[in-house]
Formats: sequence, C-alpha cells, structure tokens
Amino acid sequence: MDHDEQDRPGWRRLPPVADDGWASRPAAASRSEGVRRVRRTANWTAAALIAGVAAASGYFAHHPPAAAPAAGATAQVPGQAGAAGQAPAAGHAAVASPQRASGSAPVATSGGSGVATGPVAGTAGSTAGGAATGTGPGGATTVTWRDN
Amino acid sequence: MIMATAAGSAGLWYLSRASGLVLLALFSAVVVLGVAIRTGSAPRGWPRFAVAELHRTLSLFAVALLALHVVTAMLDPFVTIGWAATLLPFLSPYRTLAIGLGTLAVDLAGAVLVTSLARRRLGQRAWRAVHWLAYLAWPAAFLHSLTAGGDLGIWWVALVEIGSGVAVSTAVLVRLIGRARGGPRYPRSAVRTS
Repeated sequence: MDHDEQDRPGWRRLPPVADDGWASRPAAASRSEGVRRVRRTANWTAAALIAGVAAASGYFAHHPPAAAPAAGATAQVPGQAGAAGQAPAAGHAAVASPQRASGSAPVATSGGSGVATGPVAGTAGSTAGGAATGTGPGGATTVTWRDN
Repeated sequence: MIMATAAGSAGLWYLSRASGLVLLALFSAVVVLGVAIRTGSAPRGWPRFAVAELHRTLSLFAVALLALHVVTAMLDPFVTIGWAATLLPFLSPYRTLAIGLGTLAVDLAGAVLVTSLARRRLGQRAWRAVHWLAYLAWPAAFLHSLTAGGDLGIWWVALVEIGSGVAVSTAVLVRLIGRARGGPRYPRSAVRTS
C-alpha cells in the first residue's frame, strides 16, 4: 500500500465528497432535515415527560386534596376487598360531616391497614400508612385516608 | 423511582398517579399521530416519514412510562392489585373494574406493540388487523384514568383528561370522515407507520 492507486493505469480517483453534491440534493436534504426534526422533537418530548411526571408527583405530594364525600357516602379503604361502603365521588381524603362524626359512622375499618375509628384527641391527619381518625378544630370527628 | 421508593409508600403512590396521567396524554398523542399518518395530514414542513418515525418513538416512550406506572402501582404496599392483575383483566381486588380497564388497555396496546415489532414477519395485513386494537386500547385507558383516578377535581388534571379526549375524538372523527370520502390521501402501499 505504498503506492497511490491513482497512479495505476485504468484507475481513477473518485471525486471528493464535497464535490459530489449528494448532500445538496433536495430529497436527501429533506430527509436529513426530517430525521433531525424527529430527533429534536423526541428529545424535547422525553424531557417534557420526565418534567411532567416529576411536577405532577410533586403536586400530588404537596397538595393532598380534601373533599367532602357525597351525602351518604362511606369510605372504602384501598386494599380492603369486600369492604362495606363506596369510595367518595371525588377525593383522596374525605372529611366526614359533623352529623356523621362518630365511631359508629359507616367507615370501613381494618386492624391491618392502620385504620382506627372512634374519637381521638388531636388534629386529624393522614398517616403514612393509611387512614386515621381524630377530632378536628370544630369538634367534629374527621376521618382521613389515602386514596386517589 | 429510587427517590419515590426512598420517600416510602406515598412516593410510589404519587409517582404512579403522575405517570398514569402523563401516560394518558402521551398515549393520546401517539394515537393522534397514528391517525395523522393514515390520513396523510402532517404538520407543515414535516415529511410523512418523520411523522411515522415520531409516532414510533413516542410509542416506545409510552411503553417505558407504562412500565413505570405499573411497577410503581405494584410496589406500593398500600393497595393490593396483584401481579396477575397486570396481565389478566378484572382480577384486582382493589377497584376491580377500574384496574381491569387499565389491564385491558395494557393487553391491547401490548398486542399492538408486539405485532409492530414483528411487522416484517407478520405481514402488512395481520399487522394492520391487530393495529386496529389501538382504537379499543385508548378508550379502555381513558376510562381507566377516569375511574381509577379521583383527581378530576384538580383543574389541570381535568384539563389533561378533557384535552386528551377531545384530541383523540377529533382525530378519529377526521379519520372516519376521510374514510367515508374515499379513503386515505396516500396509497396504502406508500404508508409505513412502524
């Protein structure tokens, strides 16, 4: 490989890539532009997905909604198959109305999920493990649980 | 995921809900892109092959997000769904119907994905027949998001739900109208979506 191929009879060097003009052809340029556009969009979409999931997770973590259940609704603790009652219409944590605030309110209970019923002194709040009851500022018994 | 695990059960729960919501929006975008390919309507300056490529790429993103959504829901010790319920619909003791719809959507979308990956072996006709299942998978996923999630009281969650519904409904309507008017703008042989 010490000699130059161009020197051999019958051989001719190919033109340089820059002179070929391949990249300047409309179809090829359009295709490479399309590929570039797809990559750019895909990258931005991936970033948006990650940011969206992170932002939504952060929102859910810092904004635990409290919605009153529909009249007559009772709570169903997640994970309790066959528990009495129905889940509230929309809410993650529900606050029982004062009229229903008692240990005899139809709240699904289970010793295994951390649910406790009955008057509990102190401010009610959801626990890490699930549901809890307590006495709110107005004296009403509140029941909170985690749900979606 | 690691951070969510470190944050405990609540972190997994929040991550599962968030990934599910984002997944719905992404799945809707994938469906709209798929319809756009079939109807030959691409954004200005976008070659059709680029739309098809984006459709395929976003579908793979959706698979990753779906895995995150399912795994976080499974790992969350607060709800009992069961691993079998991830493949077999309506087996979950927790919110049987809602979770079952999600499982159904996973199964249908999984069939679409697998047949798309094996499209060359299957042939165009079989692939197309299975690809129609996407039109069933999306409604199942949408109903799952409405019934399993109780976040519709949050305005931006409702916006995502409504936006997804409107986008896909419009796309399907355009598809049906185009079909009624005489089929796609481009010959079928020229369309390759994945």
